[in-house]
Amino acid sequence: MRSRRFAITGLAAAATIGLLAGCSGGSEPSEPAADGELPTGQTISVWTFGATGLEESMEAWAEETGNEIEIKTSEFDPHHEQLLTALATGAVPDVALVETAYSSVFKPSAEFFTDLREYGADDIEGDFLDWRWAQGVADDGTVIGLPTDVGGMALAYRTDLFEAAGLPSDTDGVEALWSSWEEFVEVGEEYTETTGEPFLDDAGVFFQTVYNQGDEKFYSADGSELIYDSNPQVQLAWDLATSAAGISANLAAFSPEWNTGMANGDYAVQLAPAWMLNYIQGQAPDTAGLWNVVTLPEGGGNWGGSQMTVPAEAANPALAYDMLATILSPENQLDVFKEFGNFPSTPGLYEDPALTEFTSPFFSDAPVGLIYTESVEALEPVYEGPKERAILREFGLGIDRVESGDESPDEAWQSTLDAVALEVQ
Amino acid sequence: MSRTIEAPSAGLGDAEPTVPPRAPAPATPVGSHRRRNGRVGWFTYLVLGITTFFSLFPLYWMFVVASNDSSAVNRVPPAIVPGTQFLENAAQVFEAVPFWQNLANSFIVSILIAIGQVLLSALAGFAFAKLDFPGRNFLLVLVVGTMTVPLQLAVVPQFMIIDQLGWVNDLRALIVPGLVTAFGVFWMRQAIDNSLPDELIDAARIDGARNLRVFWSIALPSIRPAASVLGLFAFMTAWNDFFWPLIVLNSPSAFTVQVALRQLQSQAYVTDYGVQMAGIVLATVPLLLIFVLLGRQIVGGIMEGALKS
Amino acid sequence: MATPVLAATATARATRRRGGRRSLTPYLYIAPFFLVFGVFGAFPLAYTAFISLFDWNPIGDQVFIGFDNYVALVADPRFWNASWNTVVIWVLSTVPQLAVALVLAAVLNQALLKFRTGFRMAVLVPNITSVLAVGIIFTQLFGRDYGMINSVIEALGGDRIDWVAGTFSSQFAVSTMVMWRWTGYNALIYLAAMQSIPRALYESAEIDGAGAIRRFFTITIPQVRPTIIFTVIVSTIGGLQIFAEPLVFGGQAGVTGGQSRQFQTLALFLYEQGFRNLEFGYASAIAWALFLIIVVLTIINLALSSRIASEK
Repeated sequence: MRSRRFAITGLAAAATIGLLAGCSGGSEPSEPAADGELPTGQTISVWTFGATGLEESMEAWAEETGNEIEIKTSEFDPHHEQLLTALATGAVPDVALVETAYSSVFKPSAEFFTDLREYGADDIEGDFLDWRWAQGVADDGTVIGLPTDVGGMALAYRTDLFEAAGLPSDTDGVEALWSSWEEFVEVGEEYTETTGEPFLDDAGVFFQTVYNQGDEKFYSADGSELIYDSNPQVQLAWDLATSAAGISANLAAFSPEWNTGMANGDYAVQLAPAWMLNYIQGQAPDTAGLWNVVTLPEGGGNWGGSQMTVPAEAANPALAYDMLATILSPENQLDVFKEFGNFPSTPGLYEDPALTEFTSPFFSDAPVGLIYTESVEALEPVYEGPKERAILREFGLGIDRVESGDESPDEAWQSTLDAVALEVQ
Repeated sequence: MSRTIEAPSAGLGDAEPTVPPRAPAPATPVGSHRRRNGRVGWFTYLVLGITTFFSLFPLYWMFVVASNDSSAVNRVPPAIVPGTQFLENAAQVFEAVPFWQNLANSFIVSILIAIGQVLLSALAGFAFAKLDFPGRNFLLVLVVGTMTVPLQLAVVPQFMIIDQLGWVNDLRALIVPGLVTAFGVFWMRQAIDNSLPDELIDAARIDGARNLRVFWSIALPSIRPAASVLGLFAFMTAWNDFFWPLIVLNSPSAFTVQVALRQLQSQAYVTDYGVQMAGIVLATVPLLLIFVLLGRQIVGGIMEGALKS
Repeated sequence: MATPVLAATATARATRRRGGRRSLTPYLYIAPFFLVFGVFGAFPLAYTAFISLFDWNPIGDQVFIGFDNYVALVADPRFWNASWNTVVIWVLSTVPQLAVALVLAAVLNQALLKFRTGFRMAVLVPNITSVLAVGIIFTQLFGRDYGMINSVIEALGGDRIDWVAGTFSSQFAVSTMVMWRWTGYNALIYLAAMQSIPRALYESAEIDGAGAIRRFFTITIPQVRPTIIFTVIVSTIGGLQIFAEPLVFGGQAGVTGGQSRQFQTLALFLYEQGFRNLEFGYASAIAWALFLIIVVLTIINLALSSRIASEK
């Protein structure tokens, strides 16, 4: 099925050289026809980790254009590992999803992806949120992917647990409880003192949220130096998250225990990106009507969201781009939002009543459309360097060590810096 | 143990291996100690009962989750009785992936690997156990040494080769690398060494049998139990492998069952444990069937062979 | 293929030797193994050796740096941590696993045991259970807040244990998973070996008045010695490459082996550096270090187990 074949003799050497040169043949790309007509009867292969809600849209596009679609779903990390293996050897799909947590890993290798500007990505840039678009743009300006949904952040809380603790449970009352993260932690401490129960699910997500709200992350804005140990925003996020260790249930996100805690009402507040609302409904269906949603203190937030990329050696880049431009269009993103809750990354919709007036019955009719709109509009593009993910992971582990009582915040800060130093050397 | 020559009359038809006893069996009535020897106390059954419980419980719990909705896993305490949703969950599995095709793929891959591995391992094992040739010990150490290669990193170069061979998205990418294992060669060498006395081979040779004939007519039948066990292990390993198939297979029609199970994550971040477990149960049923159908022969056959000698 | 059979007057053994020495046949017998191994085993190994001399990102820069990866590895506390964890988990899981498997096999080998086929098949069930299911089940069992094991401990008046966070507790839990999956498998291997022990040996021992335990130690163990050595080698090699169990047990933090890398094995460390950090050169150096450790421990083990078994 691949066009390039060598005799078995000298196979090993040839393969090594092929990889050394960082090149591999792959199958013949189909260039856009001169008259602008796109080919039909092609099979577009798509690799995802099943988080886009776009599968039906892709099928619809294929039907419309007379092509076929072949989707391969894997779990989160294995998906990205397969993509890495595929890029390194050239046996690539036409479209591959890259999650934001991984985009800093793949962006430095922009030459392995089709620059979507060749197919007109510049024309639709204006449809998307600036910072979401920037997550798919490499240092040299190559557009390696188009944004899917956006994981705007808000706070989901249990109204019944707030009431039981003597706290206000309506949204106005809750929003008045705190105007800063510091006050948020103070309320949490009161809550834990009164009830003896944890307030928050996990301090690691708390760190990530606050760290996300600054102008810089682990790298300076121009990407020239590492500032993870000096950036005041990182320090602030660290201090807040570690100070929340005492009010955290210390449940790792996506663990079975976390799911159980969610269903069982073991904690009162959860940092919830838009897609999380669906997750909560799926894992804790018996808690319908017991939740509500309010905006974050001190700005917006984001967790998750992906770029859809077209590898450089994809067989059908023109068709792939046509599909992406279709399924990620504002109209289609609105449809997906209505069906699956994935929040659109196209701000043109943020004026649309279909979005802004959207409320969730499961979450006490909270105006989630409006809340998430505000959250994602408050963010700006921030530079993320190649080691972003590795560093973030070390900080997350450091906070886990504080949460479990293994280390004091100061010890953990030092051990985290030591661990990061090993990662970036 | 030293083997005394008990001069099997070594007609080729008489290939049933006999393991000569170290000491001559005493001439006492067999029945009387058979009874004492075989007496099985209640304590044994208790130990076995507990072991069986721990072994089977996860299987049972898989079915419990598979027959409930997604939240059954998250309840406190977790659900421990089967629900009523198994058919609904199973229907979703068949809707999401071409499951019959995937089952067929898994079966083709696993059966070919099992047969191929047993034959090739037995061939090599026979050579290592019973033939003398320069470099034998060195090559045997090399075979065992190949097991020590950490495989995680080999994925990239292996994938490069599969790509060069044009086998991406082709079942050959699973079958060919699975045909030989160092474990199999090592296992067969031990088995042949243990259960095939040199004298039997020598006698066959004197009768004019060639090496391949000796292998086919004497060695293979004598190691049938060991071969069955290896075949079973090979089949199970191939059936349950997902790391490598996930990397080399791309289209749903080429997926094996384990890769197909990975497609059962529902859309938009939410995993439906009920559907996923229903898929796992459906993928385990064929293995269990093979177990129950062949298990008596495979596991029971070993026993009968031993009782005879 | 043909091997000339020499004069029937020679002793049988000499016939076999001479017949083999002149022939290519043995090489043809082992050729399929080495052919496939050459392509899918030797090449990756050579490739690994090659790129361990590079700062190698498979989709980025590949810079030759000589032995710098190895120098860095020796100075890397994460490497020594992972090496220690690997050995501890291996000992914790392998020693009891093989001991239990041996006893289980002896129990299953009793001639008059009822339902013996059923029992034998049951002990192999953990080995056919999918890793995904194993992960869900064991994280439930060892859960801090709702795990069944903690419920039992609490009911007995103890304190709940944060299995994943602790160092010994997590290594113990991972070892339990390994034991659960592989004990029945090894028991079946021992069982197959025990089948070929002549029953007459037991019968004569019984006449001499040896009880079941005595027979187990004086007959069963010496008789299956080659198989014990076999399983010791195989589980040394397999146990030191342990990967799936800690990865699954750790959930999201699986690849680092927990918050303090407290149960990160060498195979996991290798995987983390290669696939998560794209440091394939460094990961290759780890692979070779792991390879070296396996070889050394296998040799030590082989020597030890031969001696111990022969002293019996």
